[in-house]
Parts: sequence; structure tokens; C-alpha cells
Amino acid sequence: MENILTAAALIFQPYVLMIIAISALYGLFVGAIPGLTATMATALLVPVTFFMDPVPALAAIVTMEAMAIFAGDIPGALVRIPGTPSSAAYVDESYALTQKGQAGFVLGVDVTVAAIGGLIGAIILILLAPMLAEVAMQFTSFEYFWLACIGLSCSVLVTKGSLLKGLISLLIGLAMTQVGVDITLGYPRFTFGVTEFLNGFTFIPAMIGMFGVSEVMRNVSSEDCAYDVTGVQTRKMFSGIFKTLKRYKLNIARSGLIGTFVGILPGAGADIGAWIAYAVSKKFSKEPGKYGTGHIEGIVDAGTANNAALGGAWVPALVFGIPGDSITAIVIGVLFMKGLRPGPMIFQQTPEILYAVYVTFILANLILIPFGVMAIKAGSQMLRVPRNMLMPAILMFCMVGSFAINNTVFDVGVMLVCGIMAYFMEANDIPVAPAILGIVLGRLLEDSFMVCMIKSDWDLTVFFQRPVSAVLGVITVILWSGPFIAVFRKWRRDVKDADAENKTCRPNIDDVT
Amino acid sequence: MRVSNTAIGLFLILFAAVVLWHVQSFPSLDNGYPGPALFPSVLAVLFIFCGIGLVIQGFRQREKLLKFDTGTLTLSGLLNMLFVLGTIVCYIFLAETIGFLIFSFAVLLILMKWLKVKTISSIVMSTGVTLIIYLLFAKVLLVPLPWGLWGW
Repeated sequence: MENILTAAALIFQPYVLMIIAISALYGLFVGAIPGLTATMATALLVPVTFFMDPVPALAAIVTMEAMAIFAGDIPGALVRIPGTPSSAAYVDESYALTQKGQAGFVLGVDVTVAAIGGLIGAIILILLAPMLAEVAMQFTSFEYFWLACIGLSCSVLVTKGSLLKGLISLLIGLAMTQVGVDITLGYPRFTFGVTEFLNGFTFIPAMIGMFGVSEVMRNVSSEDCAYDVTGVQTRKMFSGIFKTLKRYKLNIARSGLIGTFVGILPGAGADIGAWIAYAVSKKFSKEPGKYGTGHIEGIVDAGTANNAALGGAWVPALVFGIPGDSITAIVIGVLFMKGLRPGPMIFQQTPEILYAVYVTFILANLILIPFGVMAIKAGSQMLRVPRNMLMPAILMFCMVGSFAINNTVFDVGVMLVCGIMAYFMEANDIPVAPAILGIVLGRLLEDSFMVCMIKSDWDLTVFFQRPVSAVLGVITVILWSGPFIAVFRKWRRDVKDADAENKTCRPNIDDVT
Repeated sequence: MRVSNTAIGLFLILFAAVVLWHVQSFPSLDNGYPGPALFPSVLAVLFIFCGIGLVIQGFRQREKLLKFDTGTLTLSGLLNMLFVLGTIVCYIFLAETIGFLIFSFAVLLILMKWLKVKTISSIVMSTGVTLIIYLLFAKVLLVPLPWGLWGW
């Protein structure tokens, strides 16, 4: 309690509140512009927050992400294009309602359930994180090695599309962490005589490249289309909201939980949370036939889940230092650069940071409604801002941000290379998220493995000797064997099918002979 | 811009082979156990497996080896992209000579004109963005920008 008051005192200062307000506006703007994602917003915000104290810096990121994920619903409802991938699950549904003249109602529901979902995620974060931290206190390098393995495996397993490409993405991320001085002998690896490489790839420029530059490349490479925006009747936006909330209160609770737990899974964030909540909603709905024709139920579910996922993602990030989504991955990378190692120790050493995150989460979701209504009113204007004017500005910000961290143009080069790489990866269906987790966790994985091996004189069984470590190890092995079992089963089914086909074919052959 | 799975797979295998060859020069630990070379080697082997997987997928889908599908990318889109990349290269080589204020204004103006933004909007935006970045980094966050020969 005392800590919460301290944290509140840290947050409720004019300077921090001003930063929260500015990041709220920034988040709403970025979220509402299709083609600019919340992860990109984080990558662009990081060079600024890097030079702030941890409390306002984290407050800025937490507020920004809550706002951006909601604001993604605005273009979804108005022009049928999701503002961020997290709103993609229900754009058709929202747009169908807009065409019935209910744009105001949809967005009113969106902003309300987003705030409720965000609060559910925040409350679970506040309750769950300290409990898990107690457990995590006992962890040694053995457990951290397995945790890193589980985190990385999850990030591959949850990728949409090909697992193989998810794995390649992860390997690219891990390979990037190999550059620099190694832990065992201090030997400079893959530096090729470049002094800037001794500390490895600079994290922030790499992130700006992968999320900022690649996004700018994608945006300028397609035609700038003018959206046909209809205005929103905001006056009676909230009439009928309470009836809707009351009717779907169980949906909200269920999707809040689904969203939060998907958020906790490493690598799976708000977008996957929304898709799952939408699918679950349709499956258990009394009126599944109405889905896709402009039915509010699915929007309530998915809109709650994506904001709830944000709080969930911070649970493993704060407790174990394992990111729950791309945004927390960037945050962890930056905390590392600032010498703050997320993990159970921050619960003891710098609890104010932790409580500041909690307090901001609550505050951000409370101010989401007034700020959100403002954004809905300005929605059609925001969509009229030409992209071709925004992209050069974003590009300049990327370059300055990368330069600012270490004051060297070398980092701008890192940004350029990472940007081109991320662009090619996405163009070839290789997801970027596993690579980010790889970059963040690669060093932890290698360092903890090497330390354990040297401690135990290269006896691999030590990874299974401690009980917790053994359990985590078994979970990892199960996760790894999952895809192989699936492939094996499919193969057996194919063989059986082929057999069955052969049997049905054989009599004919006999007839012929 | 898509290339075939086979090509990506072959590239990964080649890359991994170079890594495996390069790590031979890394020192090992005193008692002969692998040290700095261990993780890069493991990653390289995994890259090779993935590369083989992609090549097999590519053959199964009967892809052309060097499919070069630009997809929805038009010529003007490609030029825009090259222009953006060129801007970053210019920043690397010129920003520290010219100085941030001039560089930023000029580059933003040229880029916006290239992307067919109206002249007046371009001038207003370029000035505005340059000043905002200048105030934010140099005055609020006190982070040095590339100052150039004339100090601005």
C-alpha cells in the first residue's frame, strides 16, 4: 500500500501527467492512422523516453499502447481498414454496423470495452505479478535458461502461418545477438574489426529500423489512397451502451481473461488475443448466424480482449524479463540498456518502477474514455492527413532517434540494414515478432547456458536436477515435440488414407488382371 | 517483393556454411570444451535445417528457382522506396557535415515534393517537423544532434 502511494506520488506530478497526456494523444494519432502500428509507435517513442527517468518513460509507453490499441478501431469502423493489426479481427463487423448508420454506437462500445478490458488486464497484472515474483525469487541460471527457451518456443509456436518461417525469424534474431564480445572468453565475435560492434547491435536503432523504417518503406511503396470517410454522430454515442454492457457482461469477463492470458504468452499479443476472443465469442454465442453482418457481440469480445492483452504482456516481462509481446520486448531491451534488469529483483530493489507501471495502467485506462471520445470526434480529420506528408516526417524522426542514442551515424547504418531486412522478411511472410524476442532473449539464453555449463563442468543433466528447473525443462521439451508430433500424425493419416485408397483400388486391378 | 522459398533456403544454407567456416578460428576453452564458437555453430546448424526445409517446400510447390515477384509493387513505388533508402544513406554521409537544421529541412522538402505533396504544405511541414525535432531533442531532452560545420 505504501508503495502504491509512493508510486501515485511519482505519477501525479505535473511533469509526468503532462507526459502521459502527450503520449495519450500520440498513441491515439498513431493508432488511428492505418499503416502505423503500436509497436512502431513504441520504437519511435523509445529514443525520447531513453533520456527520461524510468517512471515517466514507462508511464509514456503504457499510456501510448493503451490508446493506440483502442484507436485502431476508429479507421476500422470508418473506412474498414484496421488502424493496428489488433483491430483486424472485427473490422468487417464494425464497418457493417457503420453502414447501418451506427458508427457512433460502435465506437462508443469500442472505447468503453477497451477501457474495461484494459482494467481487467491491469488488475490481473497487479494480482498475478507479485505472486509469480515470489516463485521467481528461487530461480537460478538453470531456470532462466529454460524460461528463455519456453519464451522463444512460444513466440514461434504462436506465429500465424508457417512454423518454419517463424523459426527462421527467431534464428535471425538470435544470430544478431551473436555479434560482440562473448561471455566465456571475452572474444570479439563477428565484429570484423569494427569497434562499434564490440557491444553488439545497438538495440534501439535496430528496433527503429525493423518497425519504423520498414513501415515507411511499405507505406511509400503503395499508392496513397484518399479514404472515403463518413462523419460520426457522436452526440448520442453512449445511449444504449449500458444495455449492451449489461447484456454481454459475461462476454466481457470471458474476453478480458482470454485477452490477458494470451498476452501473458510470450510472443502473442493484442492481435492474437482479439482473434481468439472473436472466435470463442462466435462459438459460444446464441446467435452465431449474425456474425459478420454487423453484430455487436463479437466487437464487444474482441475489443475487450485486445486491450486486456496489454496488461497481460507485462506480467512475464516484469516478473521474468521474458517479453509477452513486441512492445514489452522493446521495453525490456531498453531497460537492459539502462542497467535495469527486469525480473524478481525489481520487486525488491526498485518497487516504485513496478507500482508506477500499475498506477499508469489504471490511470491510462480511466482517461481512455474521455481521450478516446475526443479521438473519435477527430477521427475523420485524422484519416484525411495525407500519408505522403507523414512518412518523410517519420523517417526523419527514425534517423534522428537512432543517431541520438550514441551520437554516431554508425547506428543510423544499423537502422538502415535492419529496416531493409525487416521489409524483406515481411514481404516473404517471415514474421518479425519472433526475431525481436530472439534479439532480446538471445544473450540471456547463451549467457545462462554457458554459466551453467562451466559451473557444472559440462554435465548436461544439471538442467534437470533442480525440481523447478526439471519441470520447466519438461515443458520446453513438450513444446518442442509438439510440431513434430503433429507432422508425424499427419504423415500417419496420409499413409492410412493412401492404404485405404489402395484397398479400394485393388479389386478393380484384380478385375482387369 | 517476394523471392522463392528455394532461393531463401539456399541463401540460409550458404550463410550458415560461411558462419561455420568462420567460427573455426574462434578459440576454445582451456579444457578443450567449446566456448565462443558453440552458440554460433548451433544456430548455423539450425539455419541449415531450416534452409533444407524451405528448399524442400520450394520443390514441392514447383517454384521457379529465381522467382522474383514484385507483387503489387509498382515502378513508382519502387522508386519511392529507393528514395527513402537514399535519404538514410545521405544522412549517414552528409548530416554531420551540413548540420541538422539545414539537412532536415532540405531533405524533408525534397522527399515531400518527390511524394507529390503540395508545395505550400511541404514547406510548412518541413519547417514544422524540423523545429519540433530540434526543440524536442536539443532543448527538452538535451541530446546533441549532428551540428555540422557551421554549428547548426
